[in-house]
Parts: sequence; structure tokens; C-alpha cells
Amino acid sequence: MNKRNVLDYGRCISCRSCIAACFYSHNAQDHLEASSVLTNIVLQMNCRHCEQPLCEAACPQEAIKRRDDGLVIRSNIKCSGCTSCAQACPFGAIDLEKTRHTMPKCDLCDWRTSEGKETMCAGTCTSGARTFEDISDMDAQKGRPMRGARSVEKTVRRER
Amino acid sequence: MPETKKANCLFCSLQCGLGFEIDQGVPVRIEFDAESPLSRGSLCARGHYNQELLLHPRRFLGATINRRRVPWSTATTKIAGRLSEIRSASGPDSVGVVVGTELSNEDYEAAVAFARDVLGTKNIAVAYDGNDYPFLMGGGAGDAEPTDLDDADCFVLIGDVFWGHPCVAKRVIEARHQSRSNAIYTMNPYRTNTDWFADGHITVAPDAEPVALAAILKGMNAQGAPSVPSGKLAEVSDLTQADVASVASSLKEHKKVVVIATSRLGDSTSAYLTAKLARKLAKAAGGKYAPLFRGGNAIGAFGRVGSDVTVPKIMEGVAAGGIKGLLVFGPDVAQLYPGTVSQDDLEKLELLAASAIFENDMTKHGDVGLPQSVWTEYDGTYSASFGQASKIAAVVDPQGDAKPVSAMLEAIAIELAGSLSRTAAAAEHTELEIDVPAALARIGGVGAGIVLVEGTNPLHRWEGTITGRMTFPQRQKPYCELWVGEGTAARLEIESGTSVALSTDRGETRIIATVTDRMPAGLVAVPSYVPDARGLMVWTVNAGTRWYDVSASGASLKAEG
Repeated sequence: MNKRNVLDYGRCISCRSCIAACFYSHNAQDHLEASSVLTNIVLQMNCRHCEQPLCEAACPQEAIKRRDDGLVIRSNIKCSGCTSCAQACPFGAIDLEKTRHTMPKCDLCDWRTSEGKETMCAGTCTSGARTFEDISDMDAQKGRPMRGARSVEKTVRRER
Repeated sequence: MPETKKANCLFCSLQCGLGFEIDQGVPVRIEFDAESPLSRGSLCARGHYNQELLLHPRRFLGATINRRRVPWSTATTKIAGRLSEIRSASGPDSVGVVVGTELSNEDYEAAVAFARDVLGTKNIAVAYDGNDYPFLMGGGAGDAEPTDLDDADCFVLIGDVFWGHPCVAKRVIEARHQSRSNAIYTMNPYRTNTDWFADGHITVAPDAEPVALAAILKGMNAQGAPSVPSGKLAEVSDLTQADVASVASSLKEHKKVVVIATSRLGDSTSAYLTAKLARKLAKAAGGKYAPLFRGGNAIGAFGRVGSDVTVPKIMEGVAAGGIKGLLVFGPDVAQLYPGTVSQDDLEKLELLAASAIFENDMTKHGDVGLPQSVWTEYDGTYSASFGQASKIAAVVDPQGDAKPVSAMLEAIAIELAGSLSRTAAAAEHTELEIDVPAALARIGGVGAGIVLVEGTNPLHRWEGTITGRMTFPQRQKPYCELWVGEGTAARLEIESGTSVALSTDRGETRIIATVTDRMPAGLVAVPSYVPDARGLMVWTVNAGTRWYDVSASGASLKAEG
């Protein structure tokens, strides 16, 4: 499957609906890491479901596998919570779920996307910042005019 | 085989559509409703609470008398009996009914019929949240429809529209970016996330929106535009006369202007004027007006329950002892309007009967508690913003013994009068008599010292009694925070992420501070969904608006440790 979550950060209003959607649809365990960049500006770290996943290579339990359809899925049963995958991920998309000692990880809402629906985070997005799109033709993405609505200047004051 | 049932969220007046995947009578997942006219499938964080709300383990699910579990019929018989005694002894106006803003239109019709025909009392009022009531009195329910958002080329957003009502953001942002010449103007006391998207952001002192709106109306030569006292505009906003001329000209040049406004806690006269002038602005620009309300069915309530008697009047009646029996359906009045009624006042009542989704101060300190259905557990119609009507068909059976308010009223009415017949008559609201020039002249700037303003949080709604019980917002770290400006923080030696003591004449609480360049000097945004912070503010009755003014006097901040 060549669809991935795409984030047009210029449209994000940092309402955290994506994180809530992930949380409630994954048994109260969200897989969408978010960092506060500045005051209440939330930047979500998407799992890219990489072609050569470093998390899979790092996992000593073989709990993470890249499937034939391109999804990189973690097995809850095999995961021991060693955090190797979190350390290996170059995007910071995995973090330790401290309450359960396992590593929650984006599963691209497999139960929905396998039926042609969008991911929960993309479906819920209130500003249109998150979409679930076919990225197979990456060249078509280049030069796409940013649909974003705000500039860094408007987000961060230039003058003190 | 799981099936998907559609419903509407009622955490704000957008009433976004959503679906529930139901498996053997249990709502197992939330689904999106792409056919929902306004949200088109989007759902904010609060929308996702709709599932947890249905299955919440701490829901109030059994009728109680003095907090002891009893059968329904015992509870309603007790209520009917006490009401009859009180009315016989002290007359029909010794009883009152208060309804929340998350009930169905049918619930309101039943409540009006119950108060008028069964009790014979005129004491029925809606417990609006924030300044929803003066907003409704000032500008009504608006005239915009969802399709107006598609081809609008200019938006005026008053208040933190995107964080208060996130699902409208996509429509506004998409419309704005159809063309370079489209524009968004925003108006707020500090730089909110809505203001990130502004082509022009107008900073006004809290409650000073009417001054800015009046100035712009004057700049547009709009008929009936009120005059702004000389020097007032500079005192309360960052608008210069050149800015006013520029905005006025821009609004007149754009083909379709949509004014979207949402209120915050504060001065009710100002809220009334903001709505009135925002509607006038939309009309002057040949556009549409869309007010957004905190109460999910505030519009439905306003259309059915008149307001010659409002909640402040009923609470005054309780405090004075004139009202001896009170029925409260939905809201926790003590938490919604802190300090307006004391525990002593409530205990003086000869009958306090309350229904709620979760146990609250009303059900705990009252004589009779009735478990109330969530809106997705019974069939009902609701009136949303943008002229929409939502029709909810129950997605699951009510949990435990929970019932809709109309069923409660019917059961009590049968004991008192034999029946309850509902009529769908439009409510009457006597116009407010507000001296607009005098009101504008009274509006002031931030001044010296600390001024508290309500901060919006996209994860919370109402006074926090429902959203505060949801798992997702509880996991946020910190759970709540106040925002303070860099200059003020430096002066008070406050560091971001540390605990501060926030105090007013009413008391003190501790809260995490976030230092940000978004806040003008002296202004501090506080979370009103936290009872401790909410309780530091004062609700005083404004006779002119028949509502409450909310303010905080003696506000101060102190770094801890």
C-alpha cells in the first residue's frame, strides 16, 4: 500500500484531535508522538512506515516487521519494551508507553486502511493539515504549492 | 455483525456528525460522518469523548434519595409529593426549574409545559454556559449556512474560534486559500491559535470587542453604527485610524464576508454588544453572521425557553428563600456559576432534585438524584449553528436507569396532574435595554496589575465536569496551565513550566505557568474548566443583561519556590 499520512504543518491548529483519535481507537494508547515546539504548537512525529525500517532492524525480539503491503507493524505480544526501536527511529515516532512497558507504534489503522478508508488521525483532522495520500509518485509531490495557511512569522513573533 | 449508527456530538453548537460502530449493543469505535454538512467528517478531540461518555464507569446510573439508591418510581413520587406540598403552602412561584444546554428540543418543550401547565410557575430558566445567553440576545442564532463557507472570500473571526470549535477550521482555511486576495481578520485579547491564520489580527483588551467593531462599522459608514468616544479605540486596542480604514475598505471590497463569533467568560454587556455589532458588521458587508456557542443545544434552548426569568433570578430567589423547591436538569449550577449559590442556600431548599450524567454537587447535596441519559441514548432533535438541525436516533439503549429529561418530567407530571402535553411554542425574550454609547464609554483597557482572561482549551468544554472526567485530557501533562507574558513573567521571576500561586480576592490556587510571547503585558489566561481556577472569579448579576458578569478582582501571581 502506498498511502501514508501526510502532514501539511502550515494548516495545523494544534488542537490534538489527531492524538485523541489515535488514543481512543487504539485501546487508550496513542501512537502519535507529539512534541511541543513552542507554546501550544504541537508537532506530530509521523511514523513513515519506512521502506527500510530501522526500528525493525533494531528490535531484538522481531516484534516489528515490515509487511508485503508496506506497513511496518509491531506485535504487542513479542514486544519487551526494551526501547531499541525508539532509539533507532530517526523521526522520533516511537516512544515508551510507560504504563505498559511496551512500545506503542503506528499501525496505519490497518483495520480501516485495508478497507480503503483513511487513517483515524487523517480522518479526524479539523483543519485539513493531515491527509492520507498515495505517495507512490514522489516527484509529483515536489513543487506542490503548500496549502498551508500560516507563516513562521505569524506563529512566532519576530520582535520582542 | 457490527453496524454503524450515526449521531451528533453535542459538546458545542456545531453539533458535528459522527458515527458509532456498534457491536452487540456496545459502541466499540467512533466513525466519521463525511455527510455532516459543516464538519464533513472532521471530529475534534471532544467528539471522540462521545464513545467514552457512553461507557464511562463513573456514570450516574441509579435514582437516589439522600444518596441512597431507590427505584425510579420512588424517586419521582417523592419529587411529586414534595412539589405538591411546597406549592400548596407557598404558591406556584415558590418552585423553579433549571435546564442545561445539552438537552433535546423535545426535552425543552416538555420542561416548558411542565413549568407552565403542571407547576403553574414562571420560574424556568436555561443554565447557559459562559456568555452564550447575552450572545443570543445580542445577535440571535445567525443566518449563515455551511455552503456560505465554500465561497466566502473574507472572514472575520471574533474570539478563539478554532480552538473553541475546531471543526470549522478546515472550512475557513480552505476558503481562505482559494485565492491570494481572500482574507481572514481575527479579534482577540491575546494571540490565540486562531490568530496564526490571520491576515490581520486585532488585539483588543478583554471585553473591548464592541469598541473595535463600532469603529470598523463607522469606517464602513454603516447605518446605525454607534459612535466610539474619542481616544477610546487607542485605549482598548492596537487599531489605528488607518487600520480601521483599511479593514473597513477590505470588508466592503470582498464579495462575501462571513463573521464568525464566539464568546468567553467576562462582561455580559460587552458580550451582548459584541454579538449585536458582529451581526451588524456582517450585514453592512453584505455577508453572513455565524455565532458559535459553548452549549451544544443553546440555540434549541433559546428558541423554546423564554428568558424573562433567568438563572440569576432563580438563584437569587433560592438565596432569599422565595424559591423553596428547585428542579435542576443537567447542569451543575454550583460549578457553572461559582459563588452564586451557597451550600447553605441549597440546604435551605425544601426540595432539591437534580438529574445529571455524572454525580455532581446538585445530585450529591440534593434530596433526589435522577440519572440522565446521554444525548446519543435517546431520539431527539437539536438546533445547531449554521442553521442546521440535527436529528439523533439512539445509538444504544440508555445505560443503567438513565432516562431522558422529558421522560422524567412526564413521570412526575403524571403523579401531579395526570398528563403532560408538550407544545412547540416559540419562546419570548424581552429585549434588553442597553444604553450602547454609555456601555462603550465604560469599556476600559488592561491597565496596571494582573488581569485574568479565560483561556480556551480544545480538549475541554463547559465547566469541565464532563470533559474533566475523560481519560484523554486527564493524561495531558500538565493537565492545565495558565499563560503569562514574557514581560510579566520576568518582572515576577516566573519560569515557564513551574508552579505559581494564582490568587484573587476569592482565594488562591496553584497552577503550572507557561510563559509565552502571545500574552500582552498584564494579561493572564486561565483555564475555566478547572474548578479551582474557575472559583477564583466572581459571578455578579448584571440587571441590564439579566445575566452574570464574570471578573476577577485583586488578581496576583507569585512564583513558588
